[in-house]
Amino acid sequence: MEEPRILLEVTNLKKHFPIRKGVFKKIVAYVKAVDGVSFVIRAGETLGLVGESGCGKSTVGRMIMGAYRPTAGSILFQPPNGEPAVDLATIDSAHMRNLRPHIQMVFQDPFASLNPRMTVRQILSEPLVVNKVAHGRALEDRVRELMELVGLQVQHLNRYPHAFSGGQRQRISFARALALYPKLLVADEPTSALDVSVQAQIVNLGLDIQDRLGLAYLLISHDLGLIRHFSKNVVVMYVGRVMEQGPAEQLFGRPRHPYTEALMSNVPSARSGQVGNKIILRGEPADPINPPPGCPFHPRCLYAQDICKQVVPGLDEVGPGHRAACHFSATLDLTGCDALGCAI
Amino acid sequence: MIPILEVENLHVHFFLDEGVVRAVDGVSFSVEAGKTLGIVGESGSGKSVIGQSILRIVPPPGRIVNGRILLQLDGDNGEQERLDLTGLDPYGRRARSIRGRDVAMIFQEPMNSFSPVHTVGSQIIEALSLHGDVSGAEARNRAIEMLARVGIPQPELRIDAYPHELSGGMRQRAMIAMALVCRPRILIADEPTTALDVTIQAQIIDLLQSLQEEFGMAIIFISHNLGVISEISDDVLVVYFGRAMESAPVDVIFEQPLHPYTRALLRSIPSIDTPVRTHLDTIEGTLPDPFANIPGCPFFGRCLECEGKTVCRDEPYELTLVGERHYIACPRICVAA
Repeated sequence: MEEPRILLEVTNLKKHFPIRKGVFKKIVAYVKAVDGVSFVIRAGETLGLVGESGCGKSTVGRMIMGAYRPTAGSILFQPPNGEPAVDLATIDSAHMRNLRPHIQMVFQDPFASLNPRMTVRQILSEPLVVNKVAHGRALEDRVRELMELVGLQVQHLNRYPHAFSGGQRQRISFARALALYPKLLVADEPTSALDVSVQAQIVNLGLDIQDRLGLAYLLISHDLGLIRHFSKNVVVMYVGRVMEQGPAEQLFGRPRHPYTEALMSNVPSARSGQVGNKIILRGEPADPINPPPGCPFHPRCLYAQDICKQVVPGLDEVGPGHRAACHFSATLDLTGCDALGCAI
Repeated sequence: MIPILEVENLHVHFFLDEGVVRAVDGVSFSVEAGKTLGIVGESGSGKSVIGQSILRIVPPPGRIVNGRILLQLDGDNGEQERLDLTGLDPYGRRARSIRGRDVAMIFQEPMNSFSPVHTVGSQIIEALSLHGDVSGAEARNRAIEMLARVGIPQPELRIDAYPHELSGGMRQRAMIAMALVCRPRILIADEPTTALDVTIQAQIIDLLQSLQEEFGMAIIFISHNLGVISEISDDVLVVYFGRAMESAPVDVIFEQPLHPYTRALLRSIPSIDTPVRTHLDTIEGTLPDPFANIPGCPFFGRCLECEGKTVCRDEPYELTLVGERHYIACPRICVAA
């Protein structure tokens, strides 16, 4: 089967935030929030970006949205109308505005991301009016179409966000993001603020929309279960660096990096009798200002050797499309989901 | 074994201008020493208010309107005494002496539980000196010992740190140290791992379990996360809209749940058997209006198993024993059968 065309190609992306101190705001250090991340998103597919808080996963999303300018690297976006690819890392804001409709975002907190003083109709109309996509009758039709697309009732169009539950608000966020027929949706923890039963509704909505519209997702989450349910390819980040990346099936079935293994074993299982094979990591995630030398994960790693403290492992290919940044990825026999029986 | 804490038919109502919110509406459970009771429910289910009622810290306009909370105490002459906490003055001497010494609580966000202008150590020492007759140096040593026990590196230095100087995981450990320093017999943990990363969450659960083995306290663990509940609990209480829906040993809840709500909740989380990219089972609809007084089952209308039988909506029902330590509140099962 022919693979879908490449929509977004991120190469060696870096973002270093300067830390300034003193009267002259001298730069004393850098937070290496993202330090060399590369991946490809193809049309209609989902890339899952997973990691703990502070690993830089949201920063990657923001750079793609153009909220931050990368320190280095490129973000090549292929516009749908056959124009040549554009590098979002260096694009000027006027051009970015033209591309904006193609890349949209859904945020974590549906209580903070909707303007409380606007009705749903205004919220959904705004992107259409600002981008001069529709007006008058066509605008009204599109707004109604969006409401139906995300499973909301059109008679609620004149209500304000506070009249909706968390799940419904997240549906409004989706509708707003879909208004301009985007090709890529960046979803940053889209279900984390919701209750369990409502999360399932949003997961189903996300799957339906993707199938119907052929959207690509960049799904940013700490929830391995969600990532596994959606993603074709997965990137595991730790302190700004990629620890492992590859097709979801291989990565979850047989992880090649000890960090992935530990993350998977730490997901609490909703079935009893699964306790006991948990890997309790020592310590806490490394400080991105002052990451440890060598492999950033070595102080917490169960398998660390002397070499891990000195040499930064390269992100080497361990299988087709599957890469891991571990000196021992070839020799370690790590337990994946199948053997672990974990509920993710 | 005699339970260390028994809650009987607890009702906590919030009297607002718009009406009465029945936050806890007839919940009963008991906890034994050394065991963990998990209370699981979605937001708005009243699970946190249950914890607050035991400590008598329900914020106004909330009030315990009915029910008993019986705490097992060692009396003066060595006899066992059962004290009804609902009869205490929440600001009184007795309630204050029970808080922290007999029953302690840890919260989701440790930053809000510590005073930002006092060092971690001084707050732990304060707890000690309030409840025990210890000298300053002795209290400091015990605080350092406790910080070491909860896995804080260099406790003799960290004792003088301010809460903001610690990371999220370390703050949660310090809060556990503060809660356990007086060796309470009951620890109420209200979503203590929700704000933490999974690897840190696993550490904290592991820590709570080993501390429980060592100190033998009972834990009431409140969470919305079914996975966490299944790992830490011996018994589980499922609450919905202020009511107890089902309570049973942890294996029974997760392997053979009887209540339609418990079953729906468990179906909505993807498991290892769920094929990827398939639709998850959802619970349709939303919670009932919080001001509503529903005589029957509050899950009516969202329940797939009652087939619209009005017996569920209209008939009052009782929590019924259906198996060993297995209680269920479902009119379809309890009334119709």
